[in-house]
Amino acid sequence: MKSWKKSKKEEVPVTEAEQTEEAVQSAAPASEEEREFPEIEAPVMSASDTARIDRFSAAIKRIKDELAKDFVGQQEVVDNVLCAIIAGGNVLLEGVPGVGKTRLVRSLGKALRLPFSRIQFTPDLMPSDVTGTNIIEQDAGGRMSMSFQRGPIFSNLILADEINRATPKTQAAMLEVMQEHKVTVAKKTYALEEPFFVLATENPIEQDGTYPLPEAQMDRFMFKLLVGFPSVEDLIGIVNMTQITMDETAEAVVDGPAILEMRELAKTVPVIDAVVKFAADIVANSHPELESSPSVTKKYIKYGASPRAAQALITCAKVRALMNGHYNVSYQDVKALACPVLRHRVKINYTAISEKLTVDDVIKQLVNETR
Amino acid sequence: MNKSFEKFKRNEWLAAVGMSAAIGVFAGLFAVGAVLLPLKLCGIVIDEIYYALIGGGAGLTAFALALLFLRPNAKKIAKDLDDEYALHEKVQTAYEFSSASGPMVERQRADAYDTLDALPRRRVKTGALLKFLITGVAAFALFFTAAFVPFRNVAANSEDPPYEITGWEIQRIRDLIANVQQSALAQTEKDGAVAALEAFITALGEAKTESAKTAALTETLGKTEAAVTGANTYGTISSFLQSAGQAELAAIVSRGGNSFRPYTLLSYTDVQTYRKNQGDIVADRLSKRETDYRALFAEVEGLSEKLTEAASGIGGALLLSAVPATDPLYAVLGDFSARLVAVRDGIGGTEPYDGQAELDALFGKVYETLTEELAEQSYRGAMNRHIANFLRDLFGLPIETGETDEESPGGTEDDPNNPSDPNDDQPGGGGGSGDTRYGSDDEVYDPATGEYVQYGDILDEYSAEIQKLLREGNLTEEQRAMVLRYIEMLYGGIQAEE
Repeated sequence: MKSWKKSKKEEVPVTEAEQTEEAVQSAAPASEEEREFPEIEAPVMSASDTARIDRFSAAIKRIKDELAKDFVGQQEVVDNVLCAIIAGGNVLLEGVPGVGKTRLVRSLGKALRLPFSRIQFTPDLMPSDVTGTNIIEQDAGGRMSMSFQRGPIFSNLILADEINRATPKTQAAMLEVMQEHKVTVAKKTYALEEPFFVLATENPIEQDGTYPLPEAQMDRFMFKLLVGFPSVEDLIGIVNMTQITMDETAEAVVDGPAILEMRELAKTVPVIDAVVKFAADIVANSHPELESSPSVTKKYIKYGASPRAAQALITCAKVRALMNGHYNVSYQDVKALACPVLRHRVKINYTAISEKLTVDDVIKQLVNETR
Repeated sequence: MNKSFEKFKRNEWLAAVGMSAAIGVFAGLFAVGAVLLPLKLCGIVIDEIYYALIGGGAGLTAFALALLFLRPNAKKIAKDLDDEYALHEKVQTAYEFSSASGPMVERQRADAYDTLDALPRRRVKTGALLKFLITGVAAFALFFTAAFVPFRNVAANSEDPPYEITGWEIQRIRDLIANVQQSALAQTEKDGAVAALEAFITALGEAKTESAKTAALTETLGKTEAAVTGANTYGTISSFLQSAGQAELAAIVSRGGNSFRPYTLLSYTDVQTYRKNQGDIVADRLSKRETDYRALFAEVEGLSEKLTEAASGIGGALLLSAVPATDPLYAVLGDFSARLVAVRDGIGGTEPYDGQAELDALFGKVYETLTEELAEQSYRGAMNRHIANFLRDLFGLPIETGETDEESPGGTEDDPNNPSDPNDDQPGGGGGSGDTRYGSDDEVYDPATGEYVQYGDILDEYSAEIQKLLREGNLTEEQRAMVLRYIEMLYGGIQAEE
């Protein structure tokens, strides 16, 4: 496999399809009667291939260890954020202030040796405040020229804080960058450096002065993670840790190219058709208008998830399997990711609300009825 | 490393074949039990081969269907292994990507192989084994229940109760066969009757119901009658003689061919005695005609007419009867008719003609030949009635007593109260049906009427009642034989008093 090519600034980077050379997914398999396990005694892999696979697990462990220095508890959140980064997606965090969202992203930036920037969204924030803008500069000779001043979006790790406070126009600009990984200003396109990851936070919607993200744009987030209030034990740990220093102490263990390599490696994790079908069934069953959807869907769901949810499920399941030391995707991987992937894509109706059911409750019932 | 998976695959196949075979056996036992038990409870018997066909067919079908359903395939085995050992789709992935290449899939495959090698022997699921055992026990229980439950006896008031031949019935039929073989029947008649009776024993052995027994009895009676009385022609000839105006001769033939009674045939000597009596009957009947003819010879006028009338009447009746000319009775009567013509032709001839001598020869001949032939035919009829009544009595059917000349056209000649009937004067005559009285004159007290009746009058009824009690009673073979011998002695002792 060709190594990742570092793209230069202002150049369109090489697509991932061109980087990938190995065909790791088989063509149409032989019939069941004819297929047999090949007669091999040991896997025929080069030392570099084996090393890459081994490095993945080691890297994940080291990253987690480094993050644990600065971030106490919330292990599931940490795992899912890591999973999203490696999978190439963005994450929406929902949680009360002070639970460590900014600290998590900072620590991640240090551990992954990736530049980090934080954008605090306010109602008066303009799109250009995010993407950057052209300014007029005067050189020593007094000549005027336009110069593009990059905005805070030009980084690898972005913390978009309280994104739902920004106006829809600013939200749209932000979300476009998240989707395209490039900025277009005055007809000029600037590519963002890979890996590019946005961790957005959201205030609870019952507060005034917010602009809820439209469902179509919520779909661009791979995960929505709920950061709850830490347990007492975790709180004690936080207090003790921050008494020493408030700064992040995580050290770099990987870099951007390594993340990209891990991303490519995760794509090669095999997944059987039955598991893919399971993921597809979950997403399809979230649509109440379909006759085949289960009773829980028809009763509690207003509208279901888009096909991006199925893509996200499988992509992230591959990463999750590899993070857990497995070399194939299982049903368990898909089930574990169902809530993070679907909770912001599925809308429950008033019947569920009146019965005091959360979207997670409905999603869990949906998954149980799918298999 | 794929040998581990192949080992699992081989074990799955063996289990599938074994399970299918067991299912086939259970299905066969179920089928046989399900068919056999209702049939037994209804008392219906079918050949054992059918049970084998039913069980074999059901078993083979169940085996084939079970194997079709249970046969393993690699994909299913992989899934079962993943589910049973919680391998998180490891084996299924290795199977589905067995032909793929790449470091990750190869690493996954190697990991799956290592896991397969380390797997223990597959455990038999207790729940499934328990269900299997319960099914097997149920199948065996049904089969053995059906095999050992006896056939239900259909109730006595059923329309067709079951029947099974007894040793006593076989012995009695063999006694009858000995009776026939010792009789005075011609050999061909004996052989025919004996063959019919032997076939009857065989048919009774195969009969399972009363209706089958009755059918066999009816058939046997028909066969014995055809064998024994097939040569009898007296009835046919008698009716045509009656139509031809020869009433007197018709009555002689009819009565003569039907005069023997079955209960007189207990020994061959009875035949001889009765033949003598038969000759007396014929002579007595024809004597009037002889007297008339002799008287008419004194008056030539009218005799020819009489002789012509008689000859033409007899000859015409014989022709119309369609009895073959070779029949002995036909020959006797035909000769008589011819002799009448000869006597008539001699009358008024130029040659010297001794009419009385001619009549002597005529009647002497007819007395002898007619008596002989009628006695033969009468004996056959009596023997046939003896066989029929013996069997009817043995199997509880009404006995046909007193064959009162159903074929006789006349009535006065057969008047049972006719005191001129020599049979009425048989020594020791007691009671009996029909014209013949035989038995002791000793009287016995009849509690029903409070009067004394002659022993012979009630002997037949007494004998019939004893036979009925023998059939229904619980006696040993020796006891039955002793009672039968007592009855024979009663009849025989009565005869000896003559």
